[in-house]
Amino acid sequence: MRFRVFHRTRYVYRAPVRDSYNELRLRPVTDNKARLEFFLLNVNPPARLRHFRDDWLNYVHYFDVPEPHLDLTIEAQCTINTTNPYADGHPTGVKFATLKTDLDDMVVPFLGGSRYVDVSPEIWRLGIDIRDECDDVFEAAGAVMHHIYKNWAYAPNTTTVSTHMSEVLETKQGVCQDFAHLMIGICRSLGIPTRYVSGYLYNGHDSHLRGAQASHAWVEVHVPGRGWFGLDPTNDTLADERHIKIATGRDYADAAPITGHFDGPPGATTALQVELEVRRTDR
Amino acid sequence: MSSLFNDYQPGKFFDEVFSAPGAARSHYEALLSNVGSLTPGDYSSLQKAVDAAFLKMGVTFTVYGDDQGTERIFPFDLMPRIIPQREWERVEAGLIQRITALNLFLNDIYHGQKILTDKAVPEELVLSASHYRPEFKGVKVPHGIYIHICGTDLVRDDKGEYFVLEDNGRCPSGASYMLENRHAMKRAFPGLLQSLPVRPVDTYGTMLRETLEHLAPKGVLDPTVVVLTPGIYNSAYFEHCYLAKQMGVPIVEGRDLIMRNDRVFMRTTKGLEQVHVIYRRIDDDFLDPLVFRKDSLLGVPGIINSYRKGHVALANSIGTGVADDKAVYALVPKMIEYYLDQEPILPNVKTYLGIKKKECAYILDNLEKLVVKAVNESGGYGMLMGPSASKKERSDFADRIKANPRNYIAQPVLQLSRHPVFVDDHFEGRHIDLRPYVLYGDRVRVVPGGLTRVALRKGSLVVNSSQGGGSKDTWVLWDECSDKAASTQLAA
Repeated sequence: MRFRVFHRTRYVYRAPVRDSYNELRLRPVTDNKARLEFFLLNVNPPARLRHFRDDWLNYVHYFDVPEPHLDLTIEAQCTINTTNPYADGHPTGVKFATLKTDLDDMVVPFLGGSRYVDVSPEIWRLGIDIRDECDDVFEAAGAVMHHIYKNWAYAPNTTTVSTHMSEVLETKQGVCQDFAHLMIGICRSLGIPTRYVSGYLYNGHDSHLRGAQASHAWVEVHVPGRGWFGLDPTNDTLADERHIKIATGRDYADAAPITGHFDGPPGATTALQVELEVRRTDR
Repeated sequence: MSSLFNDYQPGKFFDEVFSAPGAARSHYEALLSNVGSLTPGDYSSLQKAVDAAFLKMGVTFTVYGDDQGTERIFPFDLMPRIIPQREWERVEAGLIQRITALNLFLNDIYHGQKILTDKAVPEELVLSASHYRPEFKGVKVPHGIYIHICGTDLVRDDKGEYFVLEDNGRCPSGASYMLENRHAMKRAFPGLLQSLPVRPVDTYGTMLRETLEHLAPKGVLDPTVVVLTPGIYNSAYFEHCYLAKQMGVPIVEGRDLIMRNDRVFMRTTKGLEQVHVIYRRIDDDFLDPLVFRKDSLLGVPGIINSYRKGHVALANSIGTGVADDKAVYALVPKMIEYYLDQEPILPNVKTYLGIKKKECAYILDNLEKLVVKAVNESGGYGMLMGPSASKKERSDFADRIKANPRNYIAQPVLQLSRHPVFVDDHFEGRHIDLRPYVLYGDRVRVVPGGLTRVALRKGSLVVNSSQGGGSKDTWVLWDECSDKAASTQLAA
């Protein structure tokens, strides 16, 4: 599928702030499943953009606005061509034992705890119950996804961007980011390398998918010998060509679309406005 | 295939329609199967009907420095130029990238000049641009945008590759011809446009008005927008009226506006009415005799002061000419790299700068191969087409370059793409370019298509209307999905 995305985030401050420095992870991933045809970032107040690749190979654009300003607008637009990563079938048939024998250094960071994810005894017990007797890595990950979808309530505004997985485990509610963290915790407790994915979800007129037309989050599990595969616990679906991948990392902290700092009075940010349009341009 | 095109020779150029004699490109097939059924006689009478309509409606322009009547019809060739969607999307992306970088550049040049401090572009070249307005340094403009309306000239070379020829960031003209050309097509071929997936251009008036309204001072909910024209003697007066009408806003001359308490008012039959946004089609030089040229009678004394204070918005802003200086043009790829950390999507034409000693020597040694242009002229004035110029013309130009190297640039002669044009009773290939219109308001939008200009003289590479150019309707084909619904909501 081919999409045109326009994504604008605007921060409004109640008093002038200055010396703002920001890092953006807003550039969709180009790989053998998706091809980015056009990408442009623009910020206001006008600033010079630069970029680096972080530890997870995400494109990070950064800029600073030294002079006092009352609002900050960040616009990302792109044209992207996606294909379904599952077009050749599901990566089933890989046994749990291979997770230990085929351990790749690259996936080690995605096995333990991270900022928003703990591999705690509670989550391990939950993981064991969900896995049941299943010995297939990908199928077990699928079972975790179903379990979260069935037993956790989608409840916008009950959590924040900094809600920890352990709280989600307890309150049994949240949004895409929380479900992703929870799924990461459960899968890692089972020894499956799992990473966080931030991106967009195209939903067309199909309103049953959650997080549609908004920034979305899901996970990818690493199946030894097969690679990373996406699963979306918020919607109980495999991440397919409707999922536009932007950044990956151990959890939200590694993949946050916008992080920044400025000098200003406490509670200076009075409003955050997000405008997101994902338009399909093929068919 | 049609008899109309049986004898058509694409020649050794990149022909927009035919990849070889008799072999039409696929995006032209639908059109050719329609138009192809006409006889040369039918086609010729359609063309004549359109010419008559243009004359009747006064679709004209004015030629300066010519004794044979100053007002001319803008010649229109009936066969449209077609751009397939994918090709257009790349052009669109390149234009969005370019106008974004140009605006960042202008904002920088009129504020911190970081690009100069960082030596990413040569300081002396930028600051010596004659349209640089140092008196405008430090002035905050609405939303930090300087060029709201841009008419970028694109050409294709002998391989069909698109290049940016120049950025017109002051008062680009021609949008009215783009709109009129589409009307003419609809009259000449009723039903044809509806049967083909051609993207509409007639939203331009609305888009332009939205772009202008976006600039209104904060708190003004229902801004008054006007078009400011130098008056009936200006070459684009037809266009000024036309666009005002399309937008549904008044057209005014300088003498219709007056300053009161730092604000701009328009004299109306019901008394004074405050003006919030001015689409000015007057150059900086003539806008305000108190700030720029003292002898100007076209402008409004005090208007710049009001603009500085934010009571009135001007589109385009002051001093945008520094970005469309033809020598600064050569720096745009560097600007894109510097501000956006990206490669340019649409390349520039290779440009030699007179200000650089080595390049100047190259220009002087290779005049017969190059097009030389004065950096601040437009409309095809002040240029030398090296290969076709006489020895005397070349040596005259060499003297001018030596006298003021900063004022000249040179480019290799591109073999511009050609398109069939109806001449007497048959089609012949003529060189064309493309001027798409880019609007920068709430976001950057590009009108699908633009004005395709045609060098009507056989073999000529100069498409400007003032130099015997004509135009064509430009069709961007639409294969966007039916599902255009877009929704806006807060992030999950």
